Amino acid sequence: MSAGRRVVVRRRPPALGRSSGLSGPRERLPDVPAIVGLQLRRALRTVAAVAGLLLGLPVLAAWVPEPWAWVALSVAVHGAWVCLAVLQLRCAERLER
Amino acid sequence: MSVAVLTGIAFVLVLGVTVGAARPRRSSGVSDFYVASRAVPPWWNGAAITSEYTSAAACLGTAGLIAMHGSPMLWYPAGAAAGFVVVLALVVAPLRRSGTYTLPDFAEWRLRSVRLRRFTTCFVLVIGLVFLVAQLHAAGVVVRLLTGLPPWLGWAAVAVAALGVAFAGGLGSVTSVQASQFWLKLAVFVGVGVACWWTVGTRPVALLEVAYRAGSAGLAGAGDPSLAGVLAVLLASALGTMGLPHVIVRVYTDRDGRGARRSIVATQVLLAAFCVVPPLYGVLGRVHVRGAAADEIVLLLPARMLPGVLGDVLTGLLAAGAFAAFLATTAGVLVAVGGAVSACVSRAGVRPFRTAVAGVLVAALVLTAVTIPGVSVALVLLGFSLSAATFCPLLVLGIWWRRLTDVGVAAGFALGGGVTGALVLAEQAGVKMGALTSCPAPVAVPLSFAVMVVTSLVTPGRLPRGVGRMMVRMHVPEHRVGPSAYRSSRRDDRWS
Repeated sequence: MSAGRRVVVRRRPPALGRSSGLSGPRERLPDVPAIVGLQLRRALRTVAAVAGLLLGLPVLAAWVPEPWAWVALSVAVHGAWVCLAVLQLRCAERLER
Repeated sequence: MSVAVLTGIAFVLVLGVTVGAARPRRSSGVSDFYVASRAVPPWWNGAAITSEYTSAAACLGTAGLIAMHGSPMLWYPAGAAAGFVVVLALVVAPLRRSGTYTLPDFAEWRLRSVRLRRFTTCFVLVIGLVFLVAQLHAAGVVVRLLTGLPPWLGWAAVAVAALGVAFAGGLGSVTSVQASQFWLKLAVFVGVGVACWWTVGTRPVALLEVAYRAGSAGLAGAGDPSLAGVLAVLLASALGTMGLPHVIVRVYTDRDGRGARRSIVATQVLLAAFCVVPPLYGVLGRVHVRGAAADEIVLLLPARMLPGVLGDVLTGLLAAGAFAAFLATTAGVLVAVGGAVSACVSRAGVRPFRTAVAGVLVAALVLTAVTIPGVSVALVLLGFSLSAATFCPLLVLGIWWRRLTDVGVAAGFALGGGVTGALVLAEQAGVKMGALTSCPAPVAVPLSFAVMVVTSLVTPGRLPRGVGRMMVRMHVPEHRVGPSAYRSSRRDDRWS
């Protein structure tokens, strides 16, 4: 430990990179296009699954003339939305870690 | 029956105003009015979002349509809930990290255009008014049908209670009211539905017709039992959710992007819990309530199935649950639209906020007075269609595509909104062009996307400066950009 003379700091020093409004030169800038690309691919996969279920189930149901099946499918699809939402949340948070 | 109904309604309204008025003792600054101090926990926020999303259309209208038009209508709630997965995947975290407050605020920040902000505020106002009129008409239907009193008493009751909550503490108060009343609404609708079901067993499901068929569509394609009509409605619901001002404003009440994502997941779980309500009442209503209007079927069900005191008590409970739905949605829309309008025309502040909220409510009451009550789902679907054709392209392209310009967005809004309006008016005037045009989303949404992209590509000179920094702000999580740029709420954020 150096025994340099202590001085009173009267004003808070400016934060690094304040002028740019973003990370300064000493902070490691993340690879933004890569992050955006990964996020977008993940998001589009989820949206594709939603579109498939949303448009596919009503079409498939047309071949099942059972009232119970229609009611059960229309309620069960909410479970699928919850699963997709949880999956999307986990993947998005893992990508950003 | 009138005594039970009036007691139920009075209980919900007094409870709402009491809960809403309690909040300002804890905080009452500008930030609390506009964004609930950005400190709402995800599960509480999820309950509030679900509460305002399960409006008159979800509680009364959809079940009525299932009872009237049969099984094709079973898919409507699925489409509405799917919208939140799309919001979660494409919009929620980047939008929260942008640090803006309303949709017009986002448009101005992302495209650097004050004029665009004003233009988009007009669309927020129109969508909000459509939702408000749907709630007020539904309140009028409940009061007229169950008590025989004039419908304006129902409008006035909801309007005064919502105004009281909004004036008391803005979005902070509204959040408390919505989140607490969600559980009341869930318990009432599921409890009464199960009690009615218990008395008849499982026989009614066998009477549900399971087939798509040609049929006439209502406003914005509501109630069309053909496969094309159902798919068109599902598209509008799934894409329109992201542009609803009262839903999106809740994203800004979370601490950061991570919290905003978790709020949407909580919403998805709670919506799944509520999803049994429309099929339950729809199936029972198809058997036991014939010849009533769509919004009346749920309300008439307990008295038709269980005549006597028990039926009256259950009807009173349903009326209370219905008014909880109207109050939650009305207060949420009022605060969201009032906040957007006041921020557009003046500086942020409690007084301009209250003035804008009062102005929006008066406009909604006037519109309600000069229109006739229809199916609440139809009005809500009109709002979804408008939102899908305007704000959905703005958000998706604005968040993921760097080359979007203000001219492109304005052109997309004008064409998407214009085509939606023209197709709806044409349908109402008797011009039949098939299912895809009666619900305008399948035509208007791709058109709006295409126009925004093409116009942006031909106007590269309008590209705003600093797009790269905006992309960093929206897409890089708070903890990875370092403490100097950490801006869960950004430095120049006017609202906090």
